Amino acid sequence: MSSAAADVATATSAGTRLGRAISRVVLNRRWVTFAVVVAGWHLLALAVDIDLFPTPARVFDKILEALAGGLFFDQLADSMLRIVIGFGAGLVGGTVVGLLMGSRRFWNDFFQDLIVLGLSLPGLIYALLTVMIFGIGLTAPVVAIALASLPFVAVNIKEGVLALDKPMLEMCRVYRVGRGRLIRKVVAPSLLPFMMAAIRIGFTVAWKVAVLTEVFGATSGIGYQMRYEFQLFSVRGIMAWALLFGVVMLLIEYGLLIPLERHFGRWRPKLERVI
Amino acid sequence: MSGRPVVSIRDLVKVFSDGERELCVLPGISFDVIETSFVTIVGPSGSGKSTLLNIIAGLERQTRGSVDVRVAADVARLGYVFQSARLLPWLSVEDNLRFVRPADVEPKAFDGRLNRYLELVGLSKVRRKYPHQLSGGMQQRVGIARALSIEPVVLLMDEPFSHLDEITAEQMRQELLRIWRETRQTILFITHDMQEAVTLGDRLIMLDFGGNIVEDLGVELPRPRQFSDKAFVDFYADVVSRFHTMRKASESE
Repeated sequence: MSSAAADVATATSAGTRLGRAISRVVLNRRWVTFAVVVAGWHLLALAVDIDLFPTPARVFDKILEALAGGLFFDQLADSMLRIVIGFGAGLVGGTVVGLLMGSRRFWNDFFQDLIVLGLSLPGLIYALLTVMIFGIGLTAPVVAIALASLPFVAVNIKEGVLALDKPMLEMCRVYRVGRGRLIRKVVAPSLLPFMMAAIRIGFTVAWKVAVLTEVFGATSGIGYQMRYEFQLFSVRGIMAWALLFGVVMLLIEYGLLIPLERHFGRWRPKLERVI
Repeated sequence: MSGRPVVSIRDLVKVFSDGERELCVLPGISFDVIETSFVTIVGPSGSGKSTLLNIIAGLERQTRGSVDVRVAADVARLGYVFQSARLLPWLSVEDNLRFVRPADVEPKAFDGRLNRYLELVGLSKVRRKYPHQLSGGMQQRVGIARALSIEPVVLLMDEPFSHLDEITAEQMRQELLRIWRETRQTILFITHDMQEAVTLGDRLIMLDFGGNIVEDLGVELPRPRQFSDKAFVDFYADVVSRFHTMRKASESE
């Protein structure tokens, strides 16, 4: 922008900044989505008028109940522990497999079909098998989560390795850049966006499998709670827990993943400026 | 020619082979690059210019022949300026330079060099910026500063201005000549642009389509070299006519 244009922009922006801030919050498409869904749900509940299909307000009551008693946080903590261990293992294993597949022909051929199979197997199968094999306890969900998330991590990391900038690696060779520096300053930052994608996809898979495993083989956790509500035939209860679950996912996205991405992506051109 | 050679190339042959067919890009060429000289190699696309530079830089292996680069502190230190700047986008300008710090240079000592060469290419003020915040010409200056910062025995340049607009490219050529005068850095510069080759070099090596050296001329024109200067125009016209003679000869074969 030329300095004259910048001056004009500053002058006009002072007056409209508040207006823009308001419209940004009110007209933010996400809030609109949220409002439309809740309103539609409310109307639908009134229209069908079945006790089993509750209005948003009644589900919200149930949510408050779960929060106030502390039950939600206890169950969340139990689920979270399984996910952190299971997904941690899946992440490490998937990264190793992905690095091997991206850099060695042999390992690519070796894992290729297993990964395709792993990507397409429903999470339910992992859940059923691990519960039958390991019984109730920490092992079943951890193994199920690790196995289910590993292929998603592996394919992303492999793509990252293949996308490494060859001319840049040539530059490193000419300048005789050491292995350690090459990994820290070239390979790791290049793989980072792929790692973030891997974490995002892998983590959602981990959650789904964790809940499934808990439905069949746990005495605590969000999945266990879902089964409990199911046995009471409480649609309200299941909806409340599902919503709480969704909120946690969003909190992790906005509170952890996006800030992490911002932190590591400081060098990137700002999107607003590009458009 | 006087002075010591920093690069000696003898009977260099490069044949690319895909198992069935063979393609010879360098048929056995020899030349020396003398210390502090500015050598331009000009030739059409496919004459093996970039292959030659890549062999000198160790990115490719020759089929036959030898390349001797003078060794300093146990390693043949080479600076390379590529067609595109090849800067790491997530590192600031100064960190892009620090990235190539040789192991035997202390970080503090290297920062001294970094200041000197960023000053030399006129980029001291943008040292904390990221590459995407710089214009193409400025990025290429970073590439030059990076190459100089390792204090190479020879600075290899592979059509470094061919991606820039002509006005910026001309500015960069003048800058490069100033840097050459100030540092006495030996430069081996590759281009397909005959005018650029005549403007820059004090020696001009011309390759034909088969990668043979057809001309090896000293360019003893006064600097700055401009089109308003008759001696420059005459020399340039002479080089162009030699090129056309060469082209006709190769076509009639």
